[in-house]
Amino acid sequence: MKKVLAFTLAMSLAMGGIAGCGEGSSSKKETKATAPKDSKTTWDIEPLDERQTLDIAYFSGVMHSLPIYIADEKGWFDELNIDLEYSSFTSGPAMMEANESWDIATTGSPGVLVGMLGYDVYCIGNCEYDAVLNLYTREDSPIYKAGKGKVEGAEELYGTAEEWAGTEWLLPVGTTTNIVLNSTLSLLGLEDKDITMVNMDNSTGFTAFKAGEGDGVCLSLSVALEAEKAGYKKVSGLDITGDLIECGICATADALENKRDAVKKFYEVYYRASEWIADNMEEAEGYYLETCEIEGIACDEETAKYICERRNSPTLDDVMEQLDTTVEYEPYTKRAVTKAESDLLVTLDFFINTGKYTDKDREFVLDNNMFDPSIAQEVHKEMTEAGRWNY
Amino acid sequence: MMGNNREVKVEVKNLTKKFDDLLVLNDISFNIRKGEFVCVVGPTGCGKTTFLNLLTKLIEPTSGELLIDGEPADPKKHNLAFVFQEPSAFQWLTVEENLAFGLKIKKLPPDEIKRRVDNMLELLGLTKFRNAYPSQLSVSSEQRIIIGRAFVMNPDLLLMDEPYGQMDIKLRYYLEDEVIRLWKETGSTVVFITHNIEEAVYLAEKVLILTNKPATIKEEIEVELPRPRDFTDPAFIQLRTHITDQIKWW
Amino acid sequence: MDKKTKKNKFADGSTKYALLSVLGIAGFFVIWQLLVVSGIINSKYLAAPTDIIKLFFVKIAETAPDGNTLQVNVFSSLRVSLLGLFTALILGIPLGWLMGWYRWVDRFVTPLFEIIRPIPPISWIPLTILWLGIGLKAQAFIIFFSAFIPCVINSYTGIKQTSPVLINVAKTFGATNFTIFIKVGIPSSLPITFAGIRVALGNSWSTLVAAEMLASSAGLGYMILMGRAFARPDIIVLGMLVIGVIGAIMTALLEFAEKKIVKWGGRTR
Repeated sequence: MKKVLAFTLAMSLAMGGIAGCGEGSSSKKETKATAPKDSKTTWDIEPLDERQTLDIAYFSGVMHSLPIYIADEKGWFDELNIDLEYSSFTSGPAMMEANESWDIATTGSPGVLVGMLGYDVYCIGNCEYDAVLNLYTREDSPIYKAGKGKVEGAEELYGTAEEWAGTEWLLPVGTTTNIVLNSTLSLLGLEDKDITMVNMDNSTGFTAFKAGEGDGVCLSLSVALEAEKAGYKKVSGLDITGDLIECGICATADALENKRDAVKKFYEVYYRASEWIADNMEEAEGYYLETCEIEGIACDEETAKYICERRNSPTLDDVMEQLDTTVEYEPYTKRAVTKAESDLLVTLDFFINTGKYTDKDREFVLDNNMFDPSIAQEVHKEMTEAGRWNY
Repeated sequence: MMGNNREVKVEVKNLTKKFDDLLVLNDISFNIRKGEFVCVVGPTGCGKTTFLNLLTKLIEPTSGELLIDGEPADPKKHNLAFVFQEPSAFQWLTVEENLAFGLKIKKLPPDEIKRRVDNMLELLGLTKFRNAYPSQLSVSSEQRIIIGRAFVMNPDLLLMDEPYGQMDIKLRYYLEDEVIRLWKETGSTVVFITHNIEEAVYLAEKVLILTNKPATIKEEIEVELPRPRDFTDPAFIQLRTHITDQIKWW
Repeated sequence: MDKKTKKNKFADGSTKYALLSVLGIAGFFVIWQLLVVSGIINSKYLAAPTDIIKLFFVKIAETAPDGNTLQVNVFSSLRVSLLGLFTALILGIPLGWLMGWYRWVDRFVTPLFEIIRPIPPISWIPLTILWLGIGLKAQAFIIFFSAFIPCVINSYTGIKQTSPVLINVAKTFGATNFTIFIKVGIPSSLPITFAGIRVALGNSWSTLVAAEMLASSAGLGYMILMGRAFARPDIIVLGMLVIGVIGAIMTALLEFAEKKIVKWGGRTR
């Protein structure tokens, strides 16, 4: 009996130890004392009456989650009596699957759509537009050798339909990189079926490409930069095709109902932090490098600088303007579609055209106002009334 | 009664076996005549099984010779068969295939194999079970198959290591008669180990009594009783008593 | 049906037990359907069985969201997993036998084998891309790996526990070591070897999803990944069910084959 007890104790200690040191993706800030209401805060935002925790789904290594990290590091949430708890993700759909465990998330448009269509998750604002999505070939590729500027309006695009047709591309099918590839094909006058797509995620795809597979590879962010450093040639990219691929802040229905005040304060701080980054680029690069280290993503100063420089994030003012402007949108006429919604719909339309989603899905998103402007509108109202709206 | 003018089949000369420092068999010498039925008895643990293993070349002697038909014993050259103490039927072969196993190893022509197997099946009365598997038969039938498998080889030398050790008396008697019958049919030379003195006297033409470790031959006794032997015959009982005494007082 | 036959049908336990099995599965599906229909489980998170069945028929023609019909996915998965499995059987089982029988093979191979054994199949993915590129060969390699280990281990164990008595019987008859290996060792090892094949079959089929993460554009695992990427929990469940059903069918086929080969009921001593 003694032996059994000793063994059980040893096993539970071992389990505890293993469980403790394995899960690096969840961290908790120390709960501090509740700040009194009238002490001055960085952005003049009123703190919450009682301390509250917001569970954040943190997308590793991307620009749109950086404001959260910076704001947290600078104590801009803490002073409002908000504690953050993080869960890390590297994929939007996986994030949405886990929606029971978070309140607020930032993710790319494919993830936003998954949340809206499958999990009762609302998009409450556009927070960034994708910037570094590139297509690379090897130096000896016919596409590269053909030279650039052959296609009108896309001076930096290499090759023509002749070289591109019949090539094999490695990319994560159905993600934003897919959109860039498809737009490139459109510019060349080609279609999906004129090339072969092999489904591989960023890093696996790059490994395979280095090993000689495929004629070209579609990469994003730091992996794209790795490719450049390795001597591969960029033949197309989001900056060439001009695609508008948004990333959104999302909130669960539950959070919108039960933690609404905290969500609104988070919202305001997020955009303030985002705007701070634009004004303090060098310091922001340092923070970006930090987050990559924490999340285990390969990055160096050069890469951080490159990515931060290409950042394309709207201010809160831009967001309000998007919500106030309507656009012409043929596929849906039951009501006016805002500019904010239409940015997201670019991605949805792409998926519907490639058979991943259906028109019914579009109807669902718009009928049910899955793009929820109310948080933005309420924040705008509060800021204006308190005299904080200084745009 | 077989005469003593049969030729010598097996010669054992100065057979000694040591396991490291343990001397198990010490300078054993004797002859076995062709077609003779020899029983080897001795106290438990005296090295009877080692003795048999040496005879079949499963282990090598430390010194001494083992000759069959004047040549050193070799399972590949000579026709040997061994019935072990433990059940040793091949479970994945039918009765028929089990019987044919050794014959196939010896690469006998197929029609000869068929002839012998059919014959043995008849002898054992197992013809209608030829396609059954040993697991489907009783333990005694299984043991009979094993004995049949040994006899069907018409072996130069057939060794049996307490083959009926696990069985009840009625079965024992039955199988003892069976083995005599097969022996007479095939004329094989048999070395039969048992700790059961009664069984030894019932079966043997000659009884070899081994001593305790290190074993030597204490005595060679010719058994000239007529067959079928009678356990109650005073001559039988006398022999039995004598041998028992020889073993008891080492 | 006369009285006698009727009685026998139920006196024979197998019908009773078959009924129980059917009841078990049917009951499971009924409860599942009720849970979703009543709203206890949100139909967004888990589709009802009736929807899955409908989807099954729809997917035979419909290619969304993964770009393939169901049959194309099934065929693709079967191709990959059977290729990996059969390669594992052909290489692994004889290797295990040789390792278990010939000491020098054992000494030579076992240390290497013991190091490779704990490595999970998916961690082979990066190296596999380097060596075998992407596509059928690479995916089959991942699956090969998951099936290879149990094949070797079981055939090794099976042949190692060959009864020494049986070996001695053959030895006494004058058989060479190789003959004993073939005629005694291998048949002796079959029941345990088949147990290994069963495990290998299960592993190969369940490693499928991982293998299809490696540059697939078809397959049941791929279909599930796509279902996840496009908020289609019904596709995910359909994929899982089809994987489960096919796995069960393959196991049944294996049992049938085993009964044919291991005719004697499985005892080896």
